[in-house]
Amino acid sequence: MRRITATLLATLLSASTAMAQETIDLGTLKDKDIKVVQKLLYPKAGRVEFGGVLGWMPFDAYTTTPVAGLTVAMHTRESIAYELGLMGGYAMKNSKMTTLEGPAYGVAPDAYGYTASAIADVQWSPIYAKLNWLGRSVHHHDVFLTGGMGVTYERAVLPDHDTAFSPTLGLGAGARIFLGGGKIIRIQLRDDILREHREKTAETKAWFIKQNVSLLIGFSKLNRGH
Amino acid sequence: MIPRPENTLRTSACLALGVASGLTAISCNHYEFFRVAGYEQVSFTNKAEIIFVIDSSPSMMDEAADLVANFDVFIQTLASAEGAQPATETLSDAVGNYLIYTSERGRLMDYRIGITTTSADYGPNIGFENGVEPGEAGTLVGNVLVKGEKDIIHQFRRDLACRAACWDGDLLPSDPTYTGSTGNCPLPDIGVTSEYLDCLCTDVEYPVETATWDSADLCGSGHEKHLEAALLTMCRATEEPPEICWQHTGSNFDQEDDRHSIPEFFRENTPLVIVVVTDEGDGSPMFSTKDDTAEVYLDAFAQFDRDVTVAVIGPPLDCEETTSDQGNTFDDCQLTCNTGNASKLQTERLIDAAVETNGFYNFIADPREGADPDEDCDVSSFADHLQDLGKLLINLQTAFQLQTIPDQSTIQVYVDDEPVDKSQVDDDGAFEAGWTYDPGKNAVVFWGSAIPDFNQNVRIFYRPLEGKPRDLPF
Repeated sequence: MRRITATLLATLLSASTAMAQETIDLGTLKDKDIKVVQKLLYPKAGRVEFGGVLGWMPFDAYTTTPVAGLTVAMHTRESIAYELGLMGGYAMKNSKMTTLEGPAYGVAPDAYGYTASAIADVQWSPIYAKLNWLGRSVHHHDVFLTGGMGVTYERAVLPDHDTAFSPTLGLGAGARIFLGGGKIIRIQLRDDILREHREKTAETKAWFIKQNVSLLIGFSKLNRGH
Repeated sequence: MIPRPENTLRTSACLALGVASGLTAISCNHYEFFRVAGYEQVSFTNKAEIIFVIDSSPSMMDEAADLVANFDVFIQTLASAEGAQPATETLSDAVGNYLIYTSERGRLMDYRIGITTTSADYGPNIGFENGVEPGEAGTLVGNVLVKGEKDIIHQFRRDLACRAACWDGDLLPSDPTYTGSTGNCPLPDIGVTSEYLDCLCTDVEYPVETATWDSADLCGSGHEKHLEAALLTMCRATEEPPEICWQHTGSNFDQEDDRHSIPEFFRENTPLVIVVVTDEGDGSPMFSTKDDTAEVYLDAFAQFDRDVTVAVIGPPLDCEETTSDQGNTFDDCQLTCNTGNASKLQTERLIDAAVETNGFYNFIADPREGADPDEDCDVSSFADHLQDLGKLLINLQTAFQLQTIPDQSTIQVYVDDEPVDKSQVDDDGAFEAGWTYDPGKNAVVFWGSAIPDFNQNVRIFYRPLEGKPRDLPF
């Protein structure tokens, strides 16, 4: 019995050796030979993006401001674009200001409400990625940072409605979700930093630094490009 | 110099945080704070209580006759008793016509009138009897007159002429042809006559049966105490009068018996106008002999928690008046037409009461043109005085007091959200339409056509001198 088993094993081993001799030798795969290529379904380079945004400035202590705007961006490269944004808003007193102005406190903050702005900025979008949403759909998107300069026009909420044109540093971050056909949904957080001159208090303190932080959602479209 | 709020460090740190993080949702915005005054427009009301304090001394006979004759001017300024319906819708349309405007505004007034006399004392040598008689010690000579009552002009004339005035029948003109009868006593064209008073006072009950309008006992104390009499009336009309009513020198107020003895007079939160008609200065007991201001009585009035305005038709005190941004100042004052032998110092007390309460001080007599001002004078026009009183009631609130001392350069005034310019002094020394700041009262005062109308929203913004206006809840 032991002799029979050894014979069978020798037969099997000799058979497997014969099969290996039929494979092709590919050699050794090294790191330098590996290149992962993301399939860029929605290229931006050389295209112009037109869009509109709606948003809100909810973080000011005494005002709350719905905003809307138009944007036009020239994408010179996949990661670089130059954008001009025109935005307008209507600042309203929030409940804190209403309470302060009431008879219990009799105090009125000299708040300035956002009215309009024009900002030219540079967009850097280093990330293009796909997002698997609950395993059901894949969304192509990019993530971008913005930095630019412009001017902001604001009005005092107090009845004098004093106005101020302020040089503005605009910083921001956002993401584009590509829908196909050049259509894009944009989500953006923008932080405009103003150097504002307020006339009413000019005798004691005239210049103020102000931040207008806005949450924006928009729709834009890339043209066909070259 | 206003201290700057400590915001620089906070702003820098906040900005650095924002820039460093690229984005921030932290609210770093710094705003200066202003005080707001006049928010609820509570200063405006169409209600007013009016106390006439009538000098019932013999020297006042001519003035009393003129007051009786012209009271209808006052009532007509505040609209007829029957015409009390509101006319708000027509106000803006009538601005161009001052007389109509005044009349229409007056229709909104809801007034109550009481008459007392300058006799703040009582006793055996004053009046008919020992006790307190109508008009003495702050009591009223008649009922409270309420707008809307029938024949309010007749009632006022009867209370004044038959109870509060001191007549000498021999000196009054006579008109035997007078045809009035009880209950229907028209004022003669020539003014008050003996026959008119006979008619007017027929059904008046006096403390003694034999008394008439001509009784000498109706003539009041020779010691005129105008502001004391007004104070006592206020005490009597108040349910819970302040202690000052009985705790002051020379008070004739009984804490138990006199409180709220005039229950139907005062309403809550209603301004009070005290109208003094006299040819004498004020010798009220709370004044020290050197007092030339009314401060002690104005402090007493302030304890009643209502706006009090004093209007005086009093002895002519001719002064050099200077108008400036800081208000009016009076210098080198001299009494003229001094038929009542008024004292300059006591007269200045009444002037001070009028000025300090934004009332008015009109002269009770005017020298005849070219005549000696110390001897030859006429009773001044009570029609004008009473019209001034009507305007005073209508424009009762021209001054809005601020809660804290403002930096004057930051004051901004709005009426119905429309900015009001600061008033300038014109060539005649009067204020043009606009507002001024009165540091004495710490109030913004409106002038001319800038005076806010009823129902208009007045807001005054200013930065307090102390910097941050107050502790905030947020």
